[in-house]
Amino acid sequence: MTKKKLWSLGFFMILPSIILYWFYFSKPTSFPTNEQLVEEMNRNFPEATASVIQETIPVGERNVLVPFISKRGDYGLSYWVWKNHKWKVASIDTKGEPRLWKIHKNDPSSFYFVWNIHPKDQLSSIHFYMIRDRGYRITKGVEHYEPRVQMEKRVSLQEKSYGWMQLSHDWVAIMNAYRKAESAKLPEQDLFFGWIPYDQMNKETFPESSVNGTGYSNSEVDLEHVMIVNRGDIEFPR
Amino acid sequence: MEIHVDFNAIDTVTETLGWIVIVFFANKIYQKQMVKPKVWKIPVIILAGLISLSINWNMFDVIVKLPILPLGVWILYFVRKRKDRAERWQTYRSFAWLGFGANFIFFASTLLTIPVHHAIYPKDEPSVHISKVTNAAIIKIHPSAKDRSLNKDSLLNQLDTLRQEPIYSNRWYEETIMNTESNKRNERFPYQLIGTSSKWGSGLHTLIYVEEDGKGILLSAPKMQLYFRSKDSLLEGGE
Repeated sequence: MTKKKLWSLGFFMILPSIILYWFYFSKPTSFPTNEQLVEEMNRNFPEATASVIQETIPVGERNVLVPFISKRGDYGLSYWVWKNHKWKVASIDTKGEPRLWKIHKNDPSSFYFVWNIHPKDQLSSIHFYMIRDRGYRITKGVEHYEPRVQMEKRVSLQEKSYGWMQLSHDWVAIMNAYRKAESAKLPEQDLFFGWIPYDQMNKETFPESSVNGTGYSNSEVDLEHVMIVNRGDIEFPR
Repeated sequence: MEIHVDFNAIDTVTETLGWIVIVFFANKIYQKQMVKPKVWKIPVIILAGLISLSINWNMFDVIVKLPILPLGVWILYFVRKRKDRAERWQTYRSFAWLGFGANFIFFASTLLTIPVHHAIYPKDEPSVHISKVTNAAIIKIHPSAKDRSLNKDSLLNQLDTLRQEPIYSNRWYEETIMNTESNKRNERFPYQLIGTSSKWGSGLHTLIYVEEDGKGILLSAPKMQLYFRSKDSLLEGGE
């Protein structure tokens, strides 16, 4: 009798744990086919009118970036996340202006710039920036000077319309240093991200066809807007 | 992911001391009582008694909590009073008030940590902020920085001989932005030193900028900055 009780107790403890584990923590299964991706995107967000999947790019174990072309000819981005034992589309942008995809919010080494630039915009390269403005303040006679941070990373767009790039070691190191030092102040300091698009003549340009899309998001992804900055706001000392 | 052992040793010590004092008083109360309460309930009552409305007060960059209203004691009073006969409340009352009193014990211990912390980790000494340099490296945070690397030996050797100098924040700022096209500006501190750690147990996190000539260090925390000059450059390579 007691043995039976023990058995059933064990059964009722272990079974739910297995189910919970399977539901929340198990390794992702194979990624859906392109047809399934298109179908799921258009079901969740009909405005996407997704038609051609360009590639499926695993970003870490549970995240996939899927650049796509819509029926209207737009170049967009979709973000897929393995959650509750299912591959789900977490966010869709009908146009592919760069964003910063933060896979783990508190770990800058898991941040990726992602983009899908319309070929019509004929960009040759993108320059990404991490910036904090120079400033000073004097409060009650105590002086404080903030040096300008301006770090740059160039990306060539010659081969593919889309791409992704992890933040470089230096950027991650600086961001981590700021997060630690200023945790007493504001969680997110004044560091921000920007980009400048360059055309085939290496002139600053505006990518008409790649900006101002519409989007869908079920709020399971952390996507930061990366704003276009002017060359005039960037310092080129040499 | 790197694992960081990083804590404020003095806070940990005083907090532990605070709890020892509380346990001491709890035991004293218990011994004195004629009608003994259940032992396992005592920590619960004390913890509940801790709940209070308090004002946060910033003293020398340390947040101290000054308790005003004993919310936990009141809640316990109403709960206990309704549940049991009044005399039962009597057996727990002292512990509830001890819980509230614990707030003052912690308040006093925080006050105590300020001078102690200052004595053990004098903030105006660079060696408190830059203690271990094994993994130190320099990062160019501005395009006006030249390709130079950190000279660890030079940094280590000069840590104790750095001269503190005043910060002229608005002069530095004006010098940088005036007389230069906005596009051509240099940064006075174009390098940042990373990978150093502060003295063990200090819990300090300081941003460390290095001046363009490699002979100046700006230690920067949200509420305090210190500026030091060295005799020899802390950087090597480049020119």
